[in-house]
Amino acid sequence: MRAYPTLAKLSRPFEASLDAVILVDEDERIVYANPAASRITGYGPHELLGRDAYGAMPPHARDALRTAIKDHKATRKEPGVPLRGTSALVRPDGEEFEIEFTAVPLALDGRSSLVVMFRDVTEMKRLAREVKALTQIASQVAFAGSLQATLDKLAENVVRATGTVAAGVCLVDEDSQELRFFGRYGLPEGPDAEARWKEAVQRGARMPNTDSVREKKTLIHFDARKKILDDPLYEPIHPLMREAGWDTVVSVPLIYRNQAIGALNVFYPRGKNPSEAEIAFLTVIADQAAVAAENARLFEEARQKAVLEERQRLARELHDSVSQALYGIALGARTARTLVDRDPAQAGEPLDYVLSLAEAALAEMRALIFELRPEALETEGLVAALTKQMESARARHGLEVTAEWCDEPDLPYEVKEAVYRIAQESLNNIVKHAQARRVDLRLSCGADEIVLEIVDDGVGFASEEAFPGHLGLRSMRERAMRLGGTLQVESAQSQGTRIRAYIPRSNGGAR
Amino acid sequence: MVTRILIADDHSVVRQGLRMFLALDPDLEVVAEATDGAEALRLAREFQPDVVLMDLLMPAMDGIAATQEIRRELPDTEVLALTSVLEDASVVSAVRAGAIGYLLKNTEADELRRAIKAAAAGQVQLSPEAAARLMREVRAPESPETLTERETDVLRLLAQGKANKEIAQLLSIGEKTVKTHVSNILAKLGVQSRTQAALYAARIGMVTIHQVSGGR
Repeated sequence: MRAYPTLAKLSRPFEASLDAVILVDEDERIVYANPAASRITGYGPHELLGRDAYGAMPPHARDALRTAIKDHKATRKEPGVPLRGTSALVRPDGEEFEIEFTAVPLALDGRSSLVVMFRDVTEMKRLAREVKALTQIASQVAFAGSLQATLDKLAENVVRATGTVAAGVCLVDEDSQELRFFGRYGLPEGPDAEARWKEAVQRGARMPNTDSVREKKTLIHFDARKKILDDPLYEPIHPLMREAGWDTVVSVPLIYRNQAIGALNVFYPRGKNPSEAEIAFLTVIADQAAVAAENARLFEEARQKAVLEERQRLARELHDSVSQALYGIALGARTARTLVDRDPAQAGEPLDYVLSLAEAALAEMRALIFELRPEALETEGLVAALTKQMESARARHGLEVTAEWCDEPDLPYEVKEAVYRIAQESLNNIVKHAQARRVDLRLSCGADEIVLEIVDDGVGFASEEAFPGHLGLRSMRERAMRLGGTLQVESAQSQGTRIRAYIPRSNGGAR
Repeated sequence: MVTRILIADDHSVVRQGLRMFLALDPDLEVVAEATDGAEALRLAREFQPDVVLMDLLMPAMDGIAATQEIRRELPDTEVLALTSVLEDASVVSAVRAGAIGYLLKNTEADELRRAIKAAAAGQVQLSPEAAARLMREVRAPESPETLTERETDVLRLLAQGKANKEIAQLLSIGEKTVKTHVSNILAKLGVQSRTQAALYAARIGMVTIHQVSGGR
């Protein structure tokens, strides 16, 4: 190795650099390495000097870099033009890592040399992958779709970001308190895998994440695959394990409000172990998974509650209408039966009563069955639906009802539904609160908007007192507003009430 | 003696049907009709009927609250709950509020007439299933006052489903005296109705639960 008289002066500024700087001579030997080069590569300063510059590189990276530098020198005749790129190095312990480098060919003391500056970008790359994965997971979690799809996608993103082979999310089943896989990537699935696991668990085997859920702690199971294969308790799943490409499992508990509701399991390939930074990343992901699971649960709960409320409403409707009418029919028929023997001339009145009740009950049933089939609004039309409502009010409450309908309008379903519900709610209010005798209904269909008008001659209320909550006016108004429409209420004490709903034909104005 | 009845139901079809049907029986007279609990209370005060037929689900004061008020103010007026669905909670609440019994709105209309007359006579009557359930669910009086020997006799007979008249005959006392004993018993036990007193008697083993429901 020949001396470079100017090297000492040239290298001084590099001593404090955070990036590695090495000088390579024409024989591809390292003639200078700054302290950062030792730190980054893991080789002591004297191990680097005089060494083959490509010696610390994995073969694939070595060939690629050598070719790139040769091409660069060939195309750029003048020295000092930098070559930039990424490559890889191997530390003394065998760990491979990515670098980003800048190589500058120089003529130093009359000889052709190469200055190479580089830095370890493993961490940066990892962070970039993790940020990307988190962004994607967060957007998935916010979307209230199927939980399984969300968690499948989450598992996939975890695998992509960590370079592992598989990931899966288990959730504690609320009924059985058992852990079940809900989302997975790179794991065997289907009834066979599930049945095998179930059998193993019945024999006393434990899924690796049981402990992390119980202890609410992140646990790393080194060589888990080998341990499972060595344990006869796990025999049913041995066939799955033999094909598996992983050795170590990390289980991170899913914590929601201090409760472990499941675990995120990440499966590491042979020779790769989770770093602390990766565990931190997985913890963040597990939080996201917990939020997704909790969102899905709340969503399902709300849906079931809505279904239940709707059922209770219909049960109440049946109680208030058909079942009372049937009791009236029974009483009337019994009365008539007695009178037929005692005084047949008197039997007419109860029989008329029975007939009128039967008619009313039929109208009620029609209206209720209509409500149980939401598609009827589409197939039979809005006007038919409103007519059923009107007949039911007439038969059930003895209201004098007049109606004036336009021809069946061509409207989107949600507009028809809104108009129908507003009419229904108005009639309910009238029956419950108005003490009205007469109701006039009108539906007019203009080119731009639909107008529903309901007028009663009941007791009314002071409409300037905003919207009294119990009258259900609020929900009527909200329905109209959702479709970009408005609801007008005119009423005064003992003056009856007039309600007008204006709904645009296209809901362009909707918010 | 004609039994005077108040009907309280928010469904006009039911009121009309009841009125029509009860008119067939010369021993029964519908003296007033209420459409909600508040009106039922007002009309009960005004007409002082023997029996109120009370629907439980009503707007503006439900049947349970109305039952409680009527029993408190008018101890001689018995309340029969009339309900279309066997809703456990409301039936138990009705008995707790002081209803002497309850009936389902079903087709056994003759049973209704019988039940009204029995209620007017102060007869406790529960179906075996209802008696069993009420035993479990109607809270027992805590540390009731001790009954006299005569009151204990009256309670036993009352719990066996006997009417005031029968009790009077069996104990060779006046019917009025029986009524006085009964109101003393209710006050000492801290309950609102004969039904609750009968359930208490069954609970402490004075009578069997079968005897309580034997009235039917």
